[in-house]
Amino acid sequence: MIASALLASILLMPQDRVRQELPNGAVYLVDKADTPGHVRVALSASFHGYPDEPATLGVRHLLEHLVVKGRDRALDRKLESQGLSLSAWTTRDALNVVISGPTGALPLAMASIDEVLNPGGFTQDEINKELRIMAEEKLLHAPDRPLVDAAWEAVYGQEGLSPFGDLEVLAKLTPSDLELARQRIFAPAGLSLVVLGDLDPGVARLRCQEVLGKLSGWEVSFDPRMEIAPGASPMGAQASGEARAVITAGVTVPMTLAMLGFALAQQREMPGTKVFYDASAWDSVIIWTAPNAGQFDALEKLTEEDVVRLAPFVRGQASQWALGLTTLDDTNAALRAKLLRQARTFDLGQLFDTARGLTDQEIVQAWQRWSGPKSYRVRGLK
Amino acid sequence: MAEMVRPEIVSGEGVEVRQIALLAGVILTALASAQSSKTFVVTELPNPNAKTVQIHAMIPRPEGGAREEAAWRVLARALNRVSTKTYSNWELFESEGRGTQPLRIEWLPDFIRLEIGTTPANWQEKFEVVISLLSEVKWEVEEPILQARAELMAERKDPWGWAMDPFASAYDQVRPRDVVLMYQAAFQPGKARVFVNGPIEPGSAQGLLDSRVRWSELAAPPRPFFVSEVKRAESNGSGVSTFELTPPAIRLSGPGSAAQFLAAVALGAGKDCTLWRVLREEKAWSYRTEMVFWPTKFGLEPRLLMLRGAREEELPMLFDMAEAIKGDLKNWDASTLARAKVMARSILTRPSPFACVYLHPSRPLGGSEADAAAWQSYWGAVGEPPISISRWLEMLDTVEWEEFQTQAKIMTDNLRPRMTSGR
Repeated sequence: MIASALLASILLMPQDRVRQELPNGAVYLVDKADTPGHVRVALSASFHGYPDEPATLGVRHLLEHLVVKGRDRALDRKLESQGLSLSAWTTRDALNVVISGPTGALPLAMASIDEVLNPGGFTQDEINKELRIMAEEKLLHAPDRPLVDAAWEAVYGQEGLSPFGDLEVLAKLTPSDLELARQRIFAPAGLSLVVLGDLDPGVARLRCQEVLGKLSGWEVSFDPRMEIAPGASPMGAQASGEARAVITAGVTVPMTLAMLGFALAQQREMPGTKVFYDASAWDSVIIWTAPNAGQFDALEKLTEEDVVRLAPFVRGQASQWALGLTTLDDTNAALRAKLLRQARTFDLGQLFDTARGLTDQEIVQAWQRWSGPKSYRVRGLK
Repeated sequence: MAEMVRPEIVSGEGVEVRQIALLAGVILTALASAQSSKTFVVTELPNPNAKTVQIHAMIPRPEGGAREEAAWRVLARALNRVSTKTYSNWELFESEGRGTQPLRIEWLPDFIRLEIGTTPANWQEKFEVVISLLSEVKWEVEEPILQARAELMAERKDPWGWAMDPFASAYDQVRPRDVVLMYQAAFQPGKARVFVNGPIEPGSAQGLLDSRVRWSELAAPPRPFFVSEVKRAESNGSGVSTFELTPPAIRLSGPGSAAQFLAAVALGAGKDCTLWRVLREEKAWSYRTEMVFWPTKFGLEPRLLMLRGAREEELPMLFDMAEAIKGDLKNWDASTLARAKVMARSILTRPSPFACVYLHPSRPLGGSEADAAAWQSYWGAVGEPPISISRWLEMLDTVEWEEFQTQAKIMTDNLRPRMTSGR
């Protein structure tokens, strides 16, 4: 019965590509790719399993630090001795773990994902030591990080708080609190797993089913973040400079590429500015920071003719960005895992052509989004 | 003038030294001809199996102090904004699309690299773009230089940026004329070397270059022009201090170089390395510890870095760090060497989160054909055999435990300390 249900849920795809949603809600994709002798496994745990709130802010991040040590706290040694590497990071959208290395070590990579999902309990000493390391991590934030965080808050309020977390809140966390959080963060309905590379799809599929199929737990509700209308006055941030943010309807929409491409192209004329976008198929924000106050005034001074003249650069920048997403590195593997949950049939390869095909009108609209009242403003207070 | 280097090495005992010596001979000959050359010397690295042709021009920085270094950086940045007598800025940087790499201009501490990755069908056309940048940049307008300078002055480094590059450059003191003079001093026949790597007809690249450069229009090299020194900052105010220990630079043809490379990997690459295991996981001194291979004209310097919140009385931490690293060598065994070999393969041949060979200032090698070409052109430019990454990996595989252990000890006994305060 279960077997036939599983078979029915496997989407009809070429043999080298298998995508399946398991009865517990976890999804996986196995994709044979042209990476001779090399595979990559990416796990994405959606924030929806444990949304960030002021009282729990940073728990996902702390858990990420701890689970990657494995059950015997020697996971790195096991992996690296076989040529595998593990990287992990936490964003507003997801907790990401990626393991990559030689094809022959795929069984170990999959067993390691299992260890990450089921690491055993953590002691208070382990939590406290990791918090000391996180305190050092906090010091490494880039000078424009407060502008980025403020922009997220301007758009989404408390739903946009930084996932780095509040170290004072985390210091009160007990091992049992953390275990409870782990069960929600790794609830199967919020997990997606992608296995890419030079592999036997049949074998990889069985491994995915083994690792994900045995999980059970909490329901996950995929409620979208609720945006707030831009305020009459800019949001303040403890940094110098300023920032603007625009809402995107996802990477699948041409306007997202137009807004990104416009900012990247215009960067050349606005020294020191940076563009931030954590690609997503759902609503999200693109943020543009500037080191000096008043730099964005230049956007309002542009004319439609100026923007049309800039259009080839916008297409060029957008298409370069889109090309970058097709490189098989850890970040893009994690993006694919996230997109597996968000937009199951979307192919990142389409983006390059979409970017090259942006019309002048779309690019003008993108400029208007950045310069007009729909953009969110952040002012540095330093 | 074109030289073809085919660094084929037969595996077997004692082969490494003999082959390096042979290759070094080839390179020394080439360098000697480059010094006296009246053209930009082209090194062809035929690679019939490559999907792209990689064209990399390496231009060494003229000698000088902090002011020249600042002008060098402004020059590298300004080249992104210039036009030439033949091409508009847009044409210079135009993308060919999938599988190719548009023109990229990279600043390295001692070089500027112009690099482009193109299709075999288009390589001659793109080679002309590189030739044009080498020889006929239009400097009549100052705007590209002023914009580049403004851009560099506006950039805000994060603490890792400060660790990688601890010196604040005196961009505000760089005049447009300094940058033009720097270009004229450096972009001269006999100095810049061009490496063409891929499925090309042997001998075709040098001929094309010689026929395209308008030799009579090249500016004569200027006399030395900077006289005053710029004082460097002793702290960066980022709130994070950098503790750095650097063993001597590694040169491919140096004795024990393969063992040194692996020892550096064991010290600082990945998470099961000494830096991460001891300084972060055991002592919780730092969140970010990392070893980076840094491209200098002396060879790759394996810089062992630890970033830590700035505190009072922090200098002793530098000595504690050195002691902790040296103390860990006793925990090394054959599995450390085995891991280093596997890790070295990973960081040199594919995108890896632990990639740490910085032949570009902002990103480590990631396994592309462009990266493989950057490896060869870097070594060629510093006077070493431009052997391929796969050949280097074969050499690494021959390293034995005793040599690995010996070189690790020598390296950690000869650490050059540096601390940059974040206060």
